[in-house]
Amino acid sequence: MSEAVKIVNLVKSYGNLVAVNDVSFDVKEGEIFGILGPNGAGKTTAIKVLMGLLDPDSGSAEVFGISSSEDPIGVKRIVGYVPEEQQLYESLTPREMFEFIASVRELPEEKASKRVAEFVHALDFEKYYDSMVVTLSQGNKQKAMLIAALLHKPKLLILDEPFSGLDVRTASIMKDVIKIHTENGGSVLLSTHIMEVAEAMCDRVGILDEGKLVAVGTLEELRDVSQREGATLENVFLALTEQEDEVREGIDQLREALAK
Amino acid sequence: MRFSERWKLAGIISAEVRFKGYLEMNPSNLARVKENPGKIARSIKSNSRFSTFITTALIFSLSVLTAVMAFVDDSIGVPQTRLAVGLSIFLVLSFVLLIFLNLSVTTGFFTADVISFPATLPLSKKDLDELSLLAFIRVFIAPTILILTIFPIITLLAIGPGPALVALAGCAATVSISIGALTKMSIWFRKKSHQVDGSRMNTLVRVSASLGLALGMVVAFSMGSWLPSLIHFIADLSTGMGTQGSSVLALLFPFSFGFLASAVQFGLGLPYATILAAVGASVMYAGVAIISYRRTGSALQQISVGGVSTKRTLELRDVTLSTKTVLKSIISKDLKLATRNIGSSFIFIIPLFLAVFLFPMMAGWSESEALRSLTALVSVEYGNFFAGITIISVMMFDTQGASIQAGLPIRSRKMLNAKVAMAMFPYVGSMILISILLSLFPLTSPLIPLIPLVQIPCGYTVALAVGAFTYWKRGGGRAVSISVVADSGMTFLAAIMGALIGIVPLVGYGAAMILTGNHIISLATQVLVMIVELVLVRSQVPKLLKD
Repeated sequence: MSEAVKIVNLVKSYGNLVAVNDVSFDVKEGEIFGILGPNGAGKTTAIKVLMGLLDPDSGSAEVFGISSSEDPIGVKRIVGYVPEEQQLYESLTPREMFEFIASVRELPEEKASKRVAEFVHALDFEKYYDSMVVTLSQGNKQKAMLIAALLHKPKLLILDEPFSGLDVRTASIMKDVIKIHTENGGSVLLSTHIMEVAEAMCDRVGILDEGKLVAVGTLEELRDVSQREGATLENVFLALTEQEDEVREGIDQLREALAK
Repeated sequence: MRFSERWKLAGIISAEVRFKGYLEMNPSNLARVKENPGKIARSIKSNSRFSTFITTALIFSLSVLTAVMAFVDDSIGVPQTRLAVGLSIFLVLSFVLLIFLNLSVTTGFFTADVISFPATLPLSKKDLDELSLLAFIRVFIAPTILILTIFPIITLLAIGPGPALVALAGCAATVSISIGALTKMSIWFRKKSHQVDGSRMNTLVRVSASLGLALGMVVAFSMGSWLPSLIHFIADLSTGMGTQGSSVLALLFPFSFGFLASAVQFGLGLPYATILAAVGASVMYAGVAIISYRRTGSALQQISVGGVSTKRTLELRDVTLSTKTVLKSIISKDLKLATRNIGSSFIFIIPLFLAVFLFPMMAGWSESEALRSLTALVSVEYGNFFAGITIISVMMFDTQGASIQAGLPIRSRKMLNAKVAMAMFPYVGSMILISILLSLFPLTSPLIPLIPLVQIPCGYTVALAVGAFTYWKRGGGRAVSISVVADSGMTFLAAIMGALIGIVPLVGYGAAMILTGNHIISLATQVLVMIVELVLVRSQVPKLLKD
């Protein structure tokens, strides 16, 4: 199996803060790989370097052998990217937005129309197709972002916190899309801090904490590393990031405060 | 709830309104808010201070100017008419200023949820209504206080307590009515700018509304220059219309307050019918102002909890896509964004703004002698100054859509080319208008109007250089969005750069003129310098850009 993503000794700092500290991992072709970590762990920074949106201080990032820093345009051609922030063109309609995307990606009009029509029908998005984006709910905006990312049939789908704030229905659709994408040979790299999602969907996960990759592997491999046999990913995560005691203390304090 | 508590809480809400308004103007700051909230907070504070300073200066100067003209200038009608017209004009200007200077700021108020949190607190509906209104007022507290104080105080000192009291009542009524009108206009504009049905009529309404509002802002800012003519015009009109005409004018808002103040001061120096009309209409408008105050509170409470509904039944159209070339698609997208945003539409009226500004200058200079080429050079240089701001303004469109753009394979150069193409429209318009304006005056040479026309290609050089520099400075060479409002430092730098790059061919013209005194040789030198500069800029731009 070849590598869809290869990150080697990646370092990225913002002033004195080392956001990503000597991180290395890869994503195999056809697998769903999850980057787990609390807020501020460095997940988004790592993804932005991979997309060529940030320059690394050292190390390298590649997508299907294309260097993110040397050929970011080449990377973006084969990647579908859904960032964490939903900053869409609020004053455009999804139709206008997809037309812009299809034009920039130089997709054949007929093919793009057919593909967008299929997505719109499948995601029950017809009635929002000509409404201004600003009027859409968060779930519908996420659907629009997903269609935008999938329009060009990407080989790799990168989803940064794709389940944040989604309702049950949209979250379920998102999960289905991810599965179908990999069934068709695509690869997925997703970042999340929702353990249940990662446990249910990811073939392998990497755990980032304060910029460092604490562990990487399948759930079974992580259980072995953390010496938590049969534990949920949440417990494995807390053990590997050494947060178990901290969480326990916090809960005790909360219990006391609520009981007063 | 005590008034002091409501006032304090309204302050917190108005700060949130400013914050939301700021983010609405520049959504790309959403990411920066997380990374550097302190910087954003400082930026909002400094913008707010700047805006308050400008508004204060504008209202102060208008108050003083109107008062001087109304109370001192003997060339305008009789004293009764001067007082009536002076106060009325000030109230009209206050009305226009309050609406156009605050229309864009109030958009933050119509982003739902600004008052959702207080709505969860144990407060009555009446308290919430009051809170909404107070928060709304606090957004533009400075101009409100200035309007309510400066002119009445000047009237008190210059005329007496009676007219000053009427002026105060008139100002209060004007503030209340303009807040009501501002609310209605903001809601209407937000609806129009957020509704899309694909029809040409809807687009036309949207574009007209945007341009109308932008033009209104320009008029508001340039009031000082045509205030004397306006006062003369209204005073002459009032005198010319006789008793009946004055009485009809006294029925209109806000002239009723002006005539009432005059009646209080001069008593039967005014016709009896006019006094009656002024008293009756003033009482009526005072009532309207009170009703407006109450209704605005209630309307604000509703929309600030639920937001402005822009939903409408749309006919479902076929789910298809029509594609364009990359360059055309970026321009088409930017044009759509520009016509749906008040701030962005400003760039399209830059030529008009220049014309409004340059015409009196040319008229003044032509009074003593025929215009020389120096007038054309100065005018074109103003255009260059705005060209720097224009390219930054065009980049502002990308403050939306950061999530989409981050994943798209667009080369920075391609993006810059699209922005440059868009920035050329106002530049070409400006140069053509300057050329036409010059033709309206006596000139030392008929070739002078050619200077701005020859300068047109320089718009490309300015936009390309300033754009590439901005990408380099703010994005390390990558295509980034710039907010003219939020990044005032970069905007200033762009304006200076535009002026510096644009002046080079003009210096060429000037130097050749000094040396030869020949217009054709000077124009040829202008062209030559422009070509050299363009080649130089084109060779340097790729070094500044990065994908």
